[in-house]
Amino acid sequence: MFWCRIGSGIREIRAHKLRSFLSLFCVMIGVCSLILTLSFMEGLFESYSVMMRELGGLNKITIFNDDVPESQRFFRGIAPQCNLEDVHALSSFKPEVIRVSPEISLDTVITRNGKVFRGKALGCTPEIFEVERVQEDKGRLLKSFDIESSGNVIFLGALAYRDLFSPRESIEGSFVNVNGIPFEVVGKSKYYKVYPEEEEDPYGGSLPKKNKIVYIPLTTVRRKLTSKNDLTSIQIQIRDITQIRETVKAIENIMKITHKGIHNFNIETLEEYVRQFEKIKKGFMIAGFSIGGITLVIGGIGIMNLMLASITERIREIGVRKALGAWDSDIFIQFISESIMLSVLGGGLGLILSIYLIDLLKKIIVEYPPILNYSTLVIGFSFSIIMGVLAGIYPALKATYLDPIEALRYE
Amino acid sequence: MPLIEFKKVSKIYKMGSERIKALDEVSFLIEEGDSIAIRGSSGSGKSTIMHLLGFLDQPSSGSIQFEGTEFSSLNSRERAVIRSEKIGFVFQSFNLLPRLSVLENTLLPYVYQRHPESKVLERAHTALNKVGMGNRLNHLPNQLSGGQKQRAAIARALLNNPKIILADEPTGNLDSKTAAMILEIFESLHHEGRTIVLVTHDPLVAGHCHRQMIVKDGKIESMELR
Ligand SMILES: Nc1ncnc2c1ncn2[C@@H]1O[C@H](COP(=O)(O)OP(=O)(O)O)[C@@H](O)[C@H]1O
Ligand SMILES: [Mg+2]
Repeated sequence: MFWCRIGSGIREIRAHKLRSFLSLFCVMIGVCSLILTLSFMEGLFESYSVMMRELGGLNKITIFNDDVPESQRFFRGIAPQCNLEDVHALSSFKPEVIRVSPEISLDTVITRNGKVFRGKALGCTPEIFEVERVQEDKGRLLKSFDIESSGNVIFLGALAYRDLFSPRESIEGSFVNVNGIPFEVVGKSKYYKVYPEEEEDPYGGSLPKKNKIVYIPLTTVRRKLTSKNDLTSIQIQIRDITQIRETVKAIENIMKITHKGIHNFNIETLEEYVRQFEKIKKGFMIAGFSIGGITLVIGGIGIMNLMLASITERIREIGVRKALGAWDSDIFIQFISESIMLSVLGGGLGLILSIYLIDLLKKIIVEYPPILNYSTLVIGFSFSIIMGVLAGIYPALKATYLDPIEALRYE
Repeated sequence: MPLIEFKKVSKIYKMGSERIKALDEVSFLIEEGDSIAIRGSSGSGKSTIMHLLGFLDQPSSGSIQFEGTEFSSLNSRERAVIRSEKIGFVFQSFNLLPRLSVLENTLLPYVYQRHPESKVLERAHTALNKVGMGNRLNHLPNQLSGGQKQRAAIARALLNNPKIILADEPTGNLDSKTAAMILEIFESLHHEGRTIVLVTHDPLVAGHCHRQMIVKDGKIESMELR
């Protein structure tokens, strides 16, 4: 029975192999390109969100020292740099501020057994590991007792470890020299992939690069490595990301009080950066859907063309079916299902092709590889079905409203 | 009650500004069990009458009743139901669907039955056996001769056990020997009590029928009993 109702369509497809293949090919390419673009975007967005997480997330605010503004130049002499008083004042801004991380950044030369690493050492407190989301790979992080005892201990970033140790060498009980002073290595961090090591400073200098940094207790740095007492920067983790503007305002006010009203600091958030990315993301979405959409429309035209040709050839069939008692709706359903059948077939082939292609591309592309989501496959497939319906409507209506007399007379 | 009644039925085709009067106030009755041959020269309006009889087309004026039901009171679905349940069509050019086998072609009317009857396969086999095609079930139309195609088409027309069979020049594309065999089938169907209307050019063929209707220029010139 199936063959009598719509099966003749399948046989029609098989009978015109080249013609059917060409329009199936159009649909296949359309679905495939839609899925590919969506997967590439997915990969990009995924890398982005991993990066955001490893940068410390959006709820991070950084305060830097800045020049005294021109209008306040007479106060240059008395303007304080970021200091522990600021940290103290900021810590008491509860509950908006969760934790405050004071930092002194130093250029250092670190040596061990003739190996050398040049990079930034960060005098810090344990808060930094929470704010920057740094995790240990071996050993342990710096603890508060390291700060209290101002011990000569150091926590290495992954690149420092790589440069100073042989591959897979244990850090246990080992020492390094920082600017000539011996420090015990207590741990090393994970390697963070989203910071490409060859890139100098991709995030406008505002964000430390976790792999390159070594961490030393703040108190130790102040006592043994630098004569300056001032902080380089202060990082703050805030509670409510939706209140970020208000919180930044409040922090600015606190800083103004501790800085005697002098605005010689700079408050940075990732917000601007996020907004930029959202804009780019939107652009990508539009571009991706346009590319996919256009190719799908081409596929739709292919199907519509095939259906129109098929209907012209099968005009008698339509007449016969009507003479045998087919309702208009039967004819419509028959031809719309043929169109959907074609698009499902083409869409299915497109799915298979895209799965293989993405698998292949994943192996080739290292940075931002495409990510194939289940939902992307569903979107691609539904698009092809929708397209099959849309492309089929006109030909099916044409068949439906064919006058049976004309259809039978047609010689 | 007659099976079909035409009262002053006219059919006018419009082609652009031109109006062609294909039928001009034609009236006649068809009783159940009748067999009628329609003759007339080409273009006289025979096919037009057949289309109207089969509810495939609508008259420009006049009344057509099928078992007392007025044509114009039915919507297109109800007309389709009457076509499916009461009428079997046989065409000059067979009109088998080329991608379907003989059996599948025969089953086609079943697809559009609104109250499907059971044992459809049995019925299809009976119909195909009756026309002598019981051994060609899986052949495709292009593997058949003209006579065989027309036999299959007749089997298809018989599937839903119609009251009336309408055949428009069913032997027009066949040689005389094959034509004679096809006409024998129609004759036996008539003997079974079915109503048959067939269009033909052949006076001999017409001689087999109960009544002969001669059509000329859209009018019935004569209606004679054999
Ligand atoms: N669809 C149509 N449009 C215009 N004229 C038509 C149409 N169908 C039939 N005719 C005309 O109506 C007349 C009767 O046609 P038809 O019933 O097919 O004749 P027959 O079957 O007796 O040869 C002819 O003159 C024919 O040209
Ligand atoms: Mg004719």
